[in-house]
Amino acid sequence: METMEVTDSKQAGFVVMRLVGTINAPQAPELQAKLMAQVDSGEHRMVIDFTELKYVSSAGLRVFLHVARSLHRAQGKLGMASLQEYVYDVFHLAGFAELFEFFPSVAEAITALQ
Amino acid sequence: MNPIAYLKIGQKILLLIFLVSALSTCAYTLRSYRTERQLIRDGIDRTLLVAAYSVDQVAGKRWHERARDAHSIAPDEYLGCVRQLTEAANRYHVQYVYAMVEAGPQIVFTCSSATEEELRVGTYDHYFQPYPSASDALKKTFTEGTVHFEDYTDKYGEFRSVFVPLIAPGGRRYVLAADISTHFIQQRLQAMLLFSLGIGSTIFVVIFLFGWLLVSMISRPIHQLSEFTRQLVHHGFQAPPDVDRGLKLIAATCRDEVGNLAESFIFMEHELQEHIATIKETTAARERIESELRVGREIQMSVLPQDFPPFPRRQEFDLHGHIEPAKEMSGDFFDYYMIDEHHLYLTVGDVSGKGVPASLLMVTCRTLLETMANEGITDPGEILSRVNTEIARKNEALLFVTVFYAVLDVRTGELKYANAGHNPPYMLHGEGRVEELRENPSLALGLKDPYHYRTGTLIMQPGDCFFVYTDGVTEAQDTQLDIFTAARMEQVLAKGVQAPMKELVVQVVAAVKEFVGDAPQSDDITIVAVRYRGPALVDRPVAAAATG
Repeated sequence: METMEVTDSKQAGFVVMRLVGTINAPQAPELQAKLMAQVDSGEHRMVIDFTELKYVSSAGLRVFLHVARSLHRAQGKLGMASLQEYVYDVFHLAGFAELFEFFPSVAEAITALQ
Repeated sequence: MNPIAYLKIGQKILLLIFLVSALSTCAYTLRSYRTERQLIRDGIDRTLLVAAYSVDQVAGKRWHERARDAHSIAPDEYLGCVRQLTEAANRYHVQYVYAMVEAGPQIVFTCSSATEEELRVGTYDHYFQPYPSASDALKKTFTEGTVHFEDYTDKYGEFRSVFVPLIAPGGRRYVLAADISTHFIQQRLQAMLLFSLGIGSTIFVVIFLFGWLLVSMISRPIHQLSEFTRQLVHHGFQAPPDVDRGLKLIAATCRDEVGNLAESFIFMEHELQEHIATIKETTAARERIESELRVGREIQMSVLPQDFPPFPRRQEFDLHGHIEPAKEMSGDFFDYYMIDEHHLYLTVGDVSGKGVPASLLMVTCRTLLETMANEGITDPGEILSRVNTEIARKNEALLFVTVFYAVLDVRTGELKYANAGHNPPYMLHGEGRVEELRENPSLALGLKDPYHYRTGTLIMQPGDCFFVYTDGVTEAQDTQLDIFTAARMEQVLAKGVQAPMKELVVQVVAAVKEFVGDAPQSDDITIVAVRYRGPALVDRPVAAAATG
């Protein structure tokens, strides 16, 4: 059974959302709820840490799309950091690569988006 | 369950009142009786004492000293004493007064009153007559020197006696006694008891009556309320008018909790009726939607390509498609048509999300794609760009659709294709090689406008087939929420490369279903497979004839 964990921390004015595990259709609603909770509570500078995310499906992609759109509207910033090759592939093949900003690590994302 | 629980409220209260009344009455009666009895007894004892002492007054203190034997007192003197004692006895309303002394082992009378009869006949107790059967109380009085009372019954009736020990001046002990018939005590006591009982019963009845009145006053509205609500329920919360009126009456006349209840019931009834009406409407509406969804699905399924092979007379290709929607209305679609004699147009699409919104977008997308093709646009990239512009307008909900669009020239095997965010299709080469067409990934339709979709080109050799699918295949989940993955699909493809397209599709679908097992289908499953056989023999230009 696949599982997903989402933890948050603050670094240099950004909220860093660390994802662990896999995101398939069953996990997508929970992911969206947790990310949007941060956005709704005023965290408009977000970096998502994909280091330990093994897999994302198209249902998960939609969640990131939604978060990106919300942050864009709030004049916020979103960085996608440290994606594994396979996960980046999913974004790439869906053509979503151009919709997000990707970085090799959380630190670089924060620096670039300041 | 306890039978008392089955009584109505009024009956329960009445039972309680009854028990309380009965207990109080019994307690009162008993107490009354005892008190009276005690008083009577005390009275009698007092009388006995006084009567006994009167012997001393009559006989004098020295009388008993003189009693040595039967001849110590002369019969006349004795008789005089008897008469006086008799008067005394009568005065005090006692049976007898008398006195005794001990003479040796016996107890003898020293004087006594007598009845009229005895006086007349002369059978009164004589001087020094022995007392035939002295009771223990009497004996004790002599030995202990204390007053004793005694109740006894003989052939004449029931009596109470007192024995008072005194000392004569010479030191001799004598006992004064009085007997009183207690028969009248019994009578009096019985009368007393009846009287008490009478009072008690009256109290009981009065309390009970008042109680009953009060209970009726309280329990009648409760009973009515209970009856009305039962009727309310019986009539499915549409109360008949008399019940309605009755409830309103209770609410108006009773200003207590019962009245509040009645008001609440009236309010609840009203609310319930509205609620039931709303539910009926909602249910009817939902049923309409559901039946429309069912009809919608049937319509949708009927316009999706059903018959395979679709172009039986066309030998240039073997095409098979399969779609299994997850919900009533699907977001996946595929379509193909021969736009002209030589060109096969093929589209496979997947709308994000499921249900009604997805299927609406699906229909829109299909229609747009077909329209573009009919307007003569032949470049897949261009078609997608234009459709994207249309869909991206007013796309607040961020719905998007992935599309793979291909045009095959059946004369040459040239395949032009564009991919808007869709899973990269596979090219299965005749010699068994499975290749994923990964270049040219573009964004799904509906997200970014304007957007340039690139067209890719390749040449299919006879025997090559390409295999398009949606993520419902690769992301199908089993009960452990593990997914099928592209790797498993590639395995099936590798094995079935040589098979007819229908069989290949069937194999893939079977593999997915076996993997999924009992888990519910989470997304639409769509597969289209096309094998290029080569140009039709009929179409080959007759070169010899042209050159003559």
